[in-house]
Amino acid sequence: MTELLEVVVAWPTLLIAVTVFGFMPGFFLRCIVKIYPPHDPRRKELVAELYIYPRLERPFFVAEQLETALHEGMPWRFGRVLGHIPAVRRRRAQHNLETVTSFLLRESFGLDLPADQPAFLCLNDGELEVMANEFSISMDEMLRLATPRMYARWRTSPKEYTVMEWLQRRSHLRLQRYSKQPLPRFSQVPCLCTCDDRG
Amino acid sequence: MIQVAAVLLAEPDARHWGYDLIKRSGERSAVVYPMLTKMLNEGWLTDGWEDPTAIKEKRPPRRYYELTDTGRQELGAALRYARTDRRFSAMNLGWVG
Repeated sequence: MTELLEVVVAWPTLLIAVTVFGFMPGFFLRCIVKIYPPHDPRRKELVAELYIYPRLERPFFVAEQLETALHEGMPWRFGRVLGHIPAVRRRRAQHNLETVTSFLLRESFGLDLPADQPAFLCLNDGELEVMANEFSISMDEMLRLATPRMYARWRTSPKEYTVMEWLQRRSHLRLQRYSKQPLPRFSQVPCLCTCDDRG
Repeated sequence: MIQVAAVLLAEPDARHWGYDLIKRSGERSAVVYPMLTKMLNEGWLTDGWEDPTAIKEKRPPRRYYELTDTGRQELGAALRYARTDRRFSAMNLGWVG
């Protein structure tokens, strides 16, 4: 018993305890969260949550976060590397164009196209045009018709997003990055920027 | 997801914190955080940050989550379904099957 007590009060034991439960969790967690994209709020969130946990649970929390970070953060890291491959860039651009178009068609016109009916958003000399099979409409016409519903209200969320903000939020907006032609400036369309035009 | 949904819907108007969700749902943090990200992307939750001036302890501000109306509907539907499904009967969700 005396020997056990001596071990407990020994300086090396104390030092190890301080390191394991005091220093290491915070240090390693800050290293782990670097796996997330630079502006990902989860970086700050996990560090803040660490200090809510009891000290004894912190090492286990940190170990679990390595799993979370690898699961959530690594696809982003690999995605950036793969994004330099031209074939991947083209495929992503096409996917994003289809996503944007189907979203616009669904939200603006209530057209829910089946997956086997591809819809494409075409950029011709800066003119944005939506075509889906026989359905064809110019950007001006689309905006004229669709303005009140272009707000992706994201159902009943207190926040309201424009289409572009919504797409950015869903990480679908890579158009600017992958398409060779510049996109029309949605922000310059007043009806998409003010809340007064909501229908 | 069902346990997390049950915890969120137990207090549908409250602010929910990651730590509390993990403790009350009994799920691991490695499961809960990716789930929260998906719910945010689906618009079922909104997030925000604690007011730093209101924190008394020495720690950074925490992120909170709030259910949206859509989240209440969607998670409520999922929970109602789970209550009728025998597979979830061990979860103490008020099974009615």
